[in-house]
Amino acid sequence: MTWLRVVLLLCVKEARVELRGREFATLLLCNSIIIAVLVGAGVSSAVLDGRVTARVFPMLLWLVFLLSATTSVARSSESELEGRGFEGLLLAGVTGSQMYLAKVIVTATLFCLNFWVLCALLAAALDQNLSSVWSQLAVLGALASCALAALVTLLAGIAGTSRLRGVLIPILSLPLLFPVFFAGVEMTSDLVTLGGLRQGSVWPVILVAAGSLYGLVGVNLFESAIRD
Amino acid sequence: MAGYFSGVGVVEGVVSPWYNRTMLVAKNRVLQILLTLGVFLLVGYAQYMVFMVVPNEQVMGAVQRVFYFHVASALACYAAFGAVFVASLLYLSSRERRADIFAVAAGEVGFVLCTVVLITGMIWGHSAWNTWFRWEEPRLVTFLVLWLIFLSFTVLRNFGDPTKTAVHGSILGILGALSVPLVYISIKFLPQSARLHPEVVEHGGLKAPSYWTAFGLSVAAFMFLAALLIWLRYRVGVLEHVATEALLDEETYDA
Amino acid sequence: MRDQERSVVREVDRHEPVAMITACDLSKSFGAVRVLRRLSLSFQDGEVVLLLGANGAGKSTLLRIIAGLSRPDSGSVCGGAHSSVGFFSHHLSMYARLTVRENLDLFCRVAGSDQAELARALELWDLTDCAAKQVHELSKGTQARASLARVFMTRPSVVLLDEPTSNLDNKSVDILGRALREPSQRRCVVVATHDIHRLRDVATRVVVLERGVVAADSGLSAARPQISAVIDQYLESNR
Repeated sequence: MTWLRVVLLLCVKEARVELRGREFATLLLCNSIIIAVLVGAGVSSAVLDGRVTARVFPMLLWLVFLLSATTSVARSSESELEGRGFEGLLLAGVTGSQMYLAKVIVTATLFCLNFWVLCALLAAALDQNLSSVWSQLAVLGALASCALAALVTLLAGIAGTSRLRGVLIPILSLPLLFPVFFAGVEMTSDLVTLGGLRQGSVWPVILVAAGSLYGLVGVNLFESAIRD
Repeated sequence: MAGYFSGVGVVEGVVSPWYNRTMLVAKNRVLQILLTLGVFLLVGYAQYMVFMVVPNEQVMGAVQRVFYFHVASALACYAAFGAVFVASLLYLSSRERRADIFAVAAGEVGFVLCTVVLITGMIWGHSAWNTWFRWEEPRLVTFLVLWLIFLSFTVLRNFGDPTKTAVHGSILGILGALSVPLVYISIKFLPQSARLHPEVVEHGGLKAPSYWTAFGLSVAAFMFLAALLIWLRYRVGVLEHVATEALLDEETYDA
Repeated sequence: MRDQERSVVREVDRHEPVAMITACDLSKSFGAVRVLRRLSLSFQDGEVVLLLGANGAGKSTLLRIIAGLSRPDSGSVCGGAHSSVGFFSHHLSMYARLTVRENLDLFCRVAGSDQAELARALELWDLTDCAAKQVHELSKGTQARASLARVFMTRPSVVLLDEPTSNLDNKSVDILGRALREPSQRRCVVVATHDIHRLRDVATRVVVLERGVVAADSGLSAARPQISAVIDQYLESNR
């Protein structure tokens, strides 16, 4: 079986496990909704001007997205630890990088879906009109989700066997996510205020560079992280 | 992967002779004491230069002296972070316990140095901006993020899976070190980012030769002090490891 | 075919014992507890080895190191002619949210085994009725049977079983016994167990571990009386 076919097989496995358990996706969505509602209520009680709200909207969106993602992802490693299925795969000759890629693909997909839902929710809560930039925002969400998934999958492998994994993953990941956070906020801000990215904006490059860096490290070191 | 590990092999080849020479120091007690005294003398002399010799800087006055501690500890912090990166790479390739102990030592000292950078930066910044922290200042924000990365490194070492802290800590050390340039670049490109950092060197603030002497001495003092602290912490770690191994070997012998 | 190659083929055809696994000076500690202490052992093809020892003797750790799932602190494990390892432990090494059939299908495909082996394994291990159930819905005994099916299905050349009978009923133990007795020159089986009476008849060698070292070894190709003597001595010392 070719290398890529094994990765696809593992993607199907990941998707199947997630669809059956629905724990990670549920946790992700619930966290997003709860934090988004809190944020909306907070902004409303602060009685912010519509222009001020428009300016803080990108920051709030990415703050909620990153917080909900990093606090929920610990659950995704539970399925591996439950029966230590990954050991069966290692024994069958599957490499750590294949497992890592499959996990990143499925996790990124869930993050992306969560981002789109969050955009719609926060836009409604904070009265922002995103209809003209929705497609560009969706692509931005997809790129950021890939970068985020590449990092948190590796860190979930690191923190997965710790008793404090739920708390440890946000602590480990958030300092490293600043480039993704800034890129997301700046690009969203451009989309919302200008209707498109600025000419010569470096932020897409920074976002892709961050994702590539995390992915490169993850592909090479994931197996070391999960093996005893 | 082959290219990655052949690169690590080059690093090992460069570091090993240095390590063997420093082992000579470790075994020679007199040499150790002399070097430690030398470092403290250097630090003392640097303090003397900073507080007793160099005049007040024209624009910022006496508070400018924080510069000598701030920049020196920043450079030493970068060096400590680099040491964490190299030691982590070495450990993952060779699984040599000493490399991991060195990474822990460099991480702890780097964390302290980073704290010094932030505190001195805020003291200096308060006199320049009349506020303790400015989010527009890229270098200060970068060091804040670096401090958070060091903090997460320490948290993982203390609360991670105890059977795997060495491997996991090494992975985080590599990831953190590689992320720092990206963090700095991303902060620099923020639109609100401004050149608020007091540009003493760039604007020709160090006019008198004594400024440069004090600056050079401070940098050297902090570098050597950091190296000494890392070395001492490393030796404690090695002794702990050797003691544990000796206890386990004793059990084997008894068995 | 050149003369050198012909002579190599003739050597193999003689079925001389080949060291499938050689563990040299293995040491492993968990914190302040030394579990393996410079342990050296060799396992040959065609052997069925019973690995005995009290709790904490190092049996599970040794098997995990041989399987490649754990790194020793020092020492090494050299594979002989084997290219595949099957490992069973109480962890099951399966996905709880997948059905038995999905699990076996996944492992069959990634290992590159024939799909016919999947159907054969389900029948052999009496899993046909529960093939469509998710693993977490099964009883402990059925889960163990499914995991054993996963191990034997791909016909690995090295089979490592850590307490395989702990949740099995008599019928399942019989199935395991038949699987272990299946003649195979190019397979080595190592079973760590406390359930000596149910597996002593299939063993061709007994190794006893004590505090991380080999305390007794019946030897390669030992006669039945020798094997029984080692087992009886072990049982006596652990009464």
